[in-house]
Amino acid sequence: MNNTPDGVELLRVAQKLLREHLLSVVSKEQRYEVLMVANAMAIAARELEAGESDLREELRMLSELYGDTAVAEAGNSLKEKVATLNKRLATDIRSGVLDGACAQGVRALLKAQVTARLRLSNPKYLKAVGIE
Amino acid sequence: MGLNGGSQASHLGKEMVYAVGEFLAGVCDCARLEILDMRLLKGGAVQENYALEIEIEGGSDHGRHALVLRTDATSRVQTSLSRSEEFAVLKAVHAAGITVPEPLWLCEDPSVIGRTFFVMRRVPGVAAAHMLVRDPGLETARESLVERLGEELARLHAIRPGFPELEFLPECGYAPALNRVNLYRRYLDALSAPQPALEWCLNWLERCQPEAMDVVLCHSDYRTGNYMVERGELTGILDWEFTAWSDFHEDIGWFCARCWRFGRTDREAGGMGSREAFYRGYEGVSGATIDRDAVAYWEVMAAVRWGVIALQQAERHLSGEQESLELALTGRMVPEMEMDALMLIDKISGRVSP
Repeated sequence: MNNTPDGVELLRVAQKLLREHLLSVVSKEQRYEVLMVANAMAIAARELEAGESDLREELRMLSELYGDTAVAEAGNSLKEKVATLNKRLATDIRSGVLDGACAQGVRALLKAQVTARLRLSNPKYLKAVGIE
Repeated sequence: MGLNGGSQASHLGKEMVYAVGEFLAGVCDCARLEILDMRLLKGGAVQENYALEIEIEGGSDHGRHALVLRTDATSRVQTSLSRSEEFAVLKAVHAAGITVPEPLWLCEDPSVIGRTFFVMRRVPGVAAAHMLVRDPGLETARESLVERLGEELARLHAIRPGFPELEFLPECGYAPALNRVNLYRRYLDALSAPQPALEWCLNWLERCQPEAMDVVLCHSDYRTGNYMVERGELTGILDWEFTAWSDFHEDIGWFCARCWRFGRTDREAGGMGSREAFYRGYEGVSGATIDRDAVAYWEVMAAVRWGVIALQQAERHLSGEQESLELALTGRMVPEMEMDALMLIDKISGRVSP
């Protein structure tokens, strides 16, 4: 299927229309709403562009912690596996079973997860704190 | 006694305006009372605030009065104080000399407008955080303003457990930090998606609790956005519905937390001024020394708390309870709070042993 322009491009040009033309003609209260819409579109565009690469990377890190067998048993789809293992991770952190030898690995995994989510939701934040 | 609903207020529903007018005429010392205007103010998801303009003839209250009527929104969240309790808090802190809108009357009779409400005096000024941190007209006033906010907070914290009018507030015990950790874990349990990063931060908060500190009356939402400023001067501290007994460093950490600086992270006191000026005001009035490490700990707690609240707000959208782009986008702010907490923990761990 060759559907062009693609979703990322459509969202990009729609945002440009919002910011460059509509923003200046709406009321003060609507300005805030227009900016929210533009922000939502920007996040959606970044997500669309990233595709499944973030999920694959997250699963790779989770498999380092829990092993291939756990990954194989965690569900059918990529999304399901990541969700299942994150649920286990949250439970394990609270119970303290990860506090010993793997504490450093868990810490690195969490920071990588949060960084990946920020890259989609608010890449400016990562620049502001000097991470990227 | 005469009463008039006023034409500008008609869109609110004449019955409500009339009922409020009748109530006010009953509690005021007056010959005649007229509601000139009554309109809903923006920005309350859990509470509704109405700006009220009244004219009183005769009696000790003779003249025009600008007031605010505060009541529960129809979609009430049962996690904060009731309006009657908030009114009692407002009375207590007003009597203690803290700069708040003067509380006037409480109506607990459900037959009036269907919900409990109270009426307070309206204070002039701006509360909107994004406007306050950007206003170039405030440049020369910022340092004295945050110093004043430190002084006010110290005055609030002089109120200690055992205060007779505040007996309804739950006791805090000796572990305010642990109370918070347990509360936020319960909040996470009620949400569907797992939150490994917040869980990790909560473990750290449990493990690294500061030593027992003085337990005082905390506002618990003391931040830019919840106070009014008029021409560079503080005119009123608002939103007392989360008031609780806690470690006094909790309010200081919440005020200074990165997530409440509204983009002006260089101004560590609420995006408005320097931490030094805020601390100077606080320590000058309280005579107590602020434990800098304890504040850093409570700033981690602040990031975690705001992260949990942001998840709850997103859940209101996701569950279909209240479809809202603003609530949905708040959910996407959670990783900012997580990173704030993780980086601050790194910084603290480099300074004091965990």
